[in-house]
Amino acid sequence: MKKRFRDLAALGLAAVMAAGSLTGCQKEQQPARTEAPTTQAAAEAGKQQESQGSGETEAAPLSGSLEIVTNGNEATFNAVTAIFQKFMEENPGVTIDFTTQGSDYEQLMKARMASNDLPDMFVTHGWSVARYSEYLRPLTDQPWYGTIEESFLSNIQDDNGDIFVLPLDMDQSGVIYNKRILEELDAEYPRTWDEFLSLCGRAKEKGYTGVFVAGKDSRQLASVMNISAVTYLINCEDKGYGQQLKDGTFDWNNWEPVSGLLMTLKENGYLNVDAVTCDPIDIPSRMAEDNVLFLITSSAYLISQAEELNGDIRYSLGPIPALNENYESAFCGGEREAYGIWKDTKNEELCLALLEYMARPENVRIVCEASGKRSAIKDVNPDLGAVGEAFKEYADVAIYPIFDRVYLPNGMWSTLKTVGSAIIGGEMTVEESIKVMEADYETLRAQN
Amino acid sequence: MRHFGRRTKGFSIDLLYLPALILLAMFVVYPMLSGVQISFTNWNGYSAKYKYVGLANYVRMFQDKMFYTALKNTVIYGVGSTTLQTVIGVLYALLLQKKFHGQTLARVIIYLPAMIASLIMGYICYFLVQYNNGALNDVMKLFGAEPVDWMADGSRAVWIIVVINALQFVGKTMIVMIAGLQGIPELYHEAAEIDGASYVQRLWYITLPLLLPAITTSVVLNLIGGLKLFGIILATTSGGPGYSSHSLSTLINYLYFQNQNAGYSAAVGIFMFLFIMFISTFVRGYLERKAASLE
Amino acid sequence: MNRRKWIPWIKTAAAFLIMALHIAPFYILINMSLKSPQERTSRWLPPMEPFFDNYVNAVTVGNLFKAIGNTLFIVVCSVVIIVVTGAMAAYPLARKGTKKNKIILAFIVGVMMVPQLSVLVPLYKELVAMGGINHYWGVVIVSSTFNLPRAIYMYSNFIGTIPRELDEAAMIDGCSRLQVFFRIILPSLKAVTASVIIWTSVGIWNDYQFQLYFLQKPALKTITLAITTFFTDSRTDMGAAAAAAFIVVLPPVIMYIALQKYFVQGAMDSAVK
Repeated sequence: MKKRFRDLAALGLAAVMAAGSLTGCQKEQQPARTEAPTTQAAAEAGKQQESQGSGETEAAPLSGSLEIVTNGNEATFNAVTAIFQKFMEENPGVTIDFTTQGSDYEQLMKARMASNDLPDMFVTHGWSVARYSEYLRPLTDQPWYGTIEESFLSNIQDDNGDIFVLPLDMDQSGVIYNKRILEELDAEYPRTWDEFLSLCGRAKEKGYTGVFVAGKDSRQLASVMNISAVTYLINCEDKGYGQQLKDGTFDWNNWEPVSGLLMTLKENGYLNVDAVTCDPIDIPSRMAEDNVLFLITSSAYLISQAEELNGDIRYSLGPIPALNENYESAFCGGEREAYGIWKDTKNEELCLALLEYMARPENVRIVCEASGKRSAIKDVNPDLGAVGEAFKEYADVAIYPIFDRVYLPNGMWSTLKTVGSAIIGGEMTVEESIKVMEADYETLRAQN
Repeated sequence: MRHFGRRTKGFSIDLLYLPALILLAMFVVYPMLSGVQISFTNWNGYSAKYKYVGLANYVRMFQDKMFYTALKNTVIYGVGSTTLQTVIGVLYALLLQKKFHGQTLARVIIYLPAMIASLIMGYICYFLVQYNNGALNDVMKLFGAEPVDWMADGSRAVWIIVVINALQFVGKTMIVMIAGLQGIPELYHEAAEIDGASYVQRLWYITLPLLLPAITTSVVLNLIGGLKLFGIILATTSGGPGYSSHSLSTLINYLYFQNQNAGYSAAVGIFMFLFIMFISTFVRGYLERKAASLE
Repeated sequence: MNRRKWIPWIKTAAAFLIMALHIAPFYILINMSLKSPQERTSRWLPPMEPFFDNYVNAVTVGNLFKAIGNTLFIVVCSVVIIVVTGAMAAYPLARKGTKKNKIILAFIVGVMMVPQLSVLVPLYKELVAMGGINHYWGVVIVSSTFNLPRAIYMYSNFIGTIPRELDEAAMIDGCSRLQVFFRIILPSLKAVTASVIIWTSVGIWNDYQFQLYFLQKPALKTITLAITTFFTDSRTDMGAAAAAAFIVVLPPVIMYIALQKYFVQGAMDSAVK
């Protein structure tokens, strides 16, 4: 209420100034200025307390207020909120303003980067190195550094081996499959893409949807390409595509199978009829109808959401099919709920203390169990239900980093979105899509 | 107070528009000029680093298939919804001009959707045209027809959006038209009726020409609204399938926020402004000349 | 003669068909908002058993009442600014047809055509520099500015219809121009002011772009922002989304039904010259 009043006063002031004099534009800045001293005062108070406490053995009481943002889903957001609440109870001087921004997150973060006005802490959704690192405080010196899963560490390291975030859980992308339909088809989980496609064909004969896509949101299609590229291009390491993509010598004709997969799915009618118009809001309810065989996705939590709607369905998560018999199948993954600290924050100490608190295994477990995702921290052992069993079943399958974050220049994600939706929308041939990919790759490489 | 009044007698009333001009200069003109500046760079939208690239963004624009699709769609959104809105608006006005049972209620309900944010209207309409469980497909099923994935075909999606937009805002046009109709003296009609003119003849030779001033203003306003269309597209198709239902507005949004191309996005923004300016000036001029020639 | 008698009834029938068309989206929305996630019957059918949890979820998860309060606050402040500065600007523009004033009026009408999106980026940078992000005054000032041209246009059309003789008589009585404005013109603007208020408050109530970028804290969230959070990939609760949309649609609809006459007048004032 107070804040409202202050804004009202400021407004009145601004209106009067605008109405009465030319100096309006200077005066309008007042609210921002009047606020600055209070935050400074709070920060100073914090410092004083710190210096007082430094002589004692107990840690100084923490104080200050933080703005933290994420784009996590509701369950994850609630879990992290609970952790922050506990932290605030233990440190009464701390207030945390925590929000989730959903699908507008990237846009907002870009706008905020543009104006160098970032929250104290924020989730980097897979871009801690490529996009956000110049705005983040390196965290390699932190006590919890050693507790990060070693297999995962390379996902968040820059060229010098520095990390910029505390990763709580990780995205693990693969293929959600319907166990019941597989049993009905009397088939095993497919090992290669050929097997995968032939299963789609058999499912279609029985009236099922082979692969479900919610293509109104073009990210869904980009994600399919991003995931399938891992076995088409990366884990067949002897072909050397990964290195070529990194150093710019990649022959883009080799992209053909990735665009080709979408085209094959579309042309053979393996996709749901409304593949181009379905909104992601529908995915769980469609899975609950129990006539979808596969979903190529990074959102394993969809399984539990669908189970809530229909307790009888049985879905699980399998690895990305291999290129052919000679190669292995794989998962891909990367940071998901991973928090970095803005390098210009006024509350660095507090942020570091909070990260340390969040990194405790019992807290990481809460987040993992809420999100249904694997822990990025050692010795957490969350209970992940059906997905957890799948993770155990395929524990030996290698996890590759998320394709575009490592092998494509920053900005190509949007090209994947354009290309993916244009292919299933029938606006682009595979050949055209290859040309677009190549052109954007060249431009963006030159830019970065 | 009186004394003060006398002292300020020399005060020019022109100064009264200063506050408004200052606001417009600060929050419209200045950002527009910096938009022009951004359009000459390769800025990605957030980084501190960028280069000036001259006219490269404009050159790219005129070679970009996506841009032409968006431009074509923008014209369809603008002209299509204006035409529909005007035709339906006039028909509704003719129907609801005179008193009968249900007349007031109908006016209220037809105008009602205009109260709603077009983004929300778009979301509601998504539930109508959705393939699975969509309300429209339930009707199709009722008649034994196969369900249709309405928005799957880009050019059909564009027209469906036009219809949604036109029906949402047709109430506004209708009200303007009713006011226009009420301004036409009853006398004209009576005279024509005595001369034996049929209803259609009277409509064509008396009502419509006299309605032209009302039509002109509502056409110009609807046209600007249609050319700027944004919320409904975002909510129903997000520009898809592919990029086939993008308008210039959604393209700008897409290029800036999802494609890291702030420079290019700004160039499209400048183009869009000039385009809307040109079209609406042209249309207004044409209709006004036409109205003048009829008088 | 027999034909004549039937015409009103045909009209009534046609009117009801048209009404059904325009009310259908609301009907569907209400049905959806009252169905549990497990009830997947046709959207044309009313729910078997009304499921009010959707409304509970909408209000608690989306924090809708807070959002409505926030939006109302922004609308009221913006409308005050628009009415005061708009009426003030329109007076000289309508009264003194100098070349300069004509150019200014043309400029203001031109601004009506500026698409919000085309200036969003630089505008955002500007507001950050001024410290206006996450403060109501930032979004209020910008929303006011973008709605000003329409208001000035409406006011100047209206002032044009007030006889000049009134001004002149008052000035002979010793009023200054400023006094003429406040004592003669302003009181006679009541009707058009009602139109301006209605027109701009609906516009700002329904705005999405400015609020999205300028108000990023959840405590400041407005209704359009609250609604979109139900339609992101992080939530998949269609019933609650529909309930939220319905709640948010309600206030302007109620206001419209209560103040119909003014709304109709507003629609005419904004269009008819």
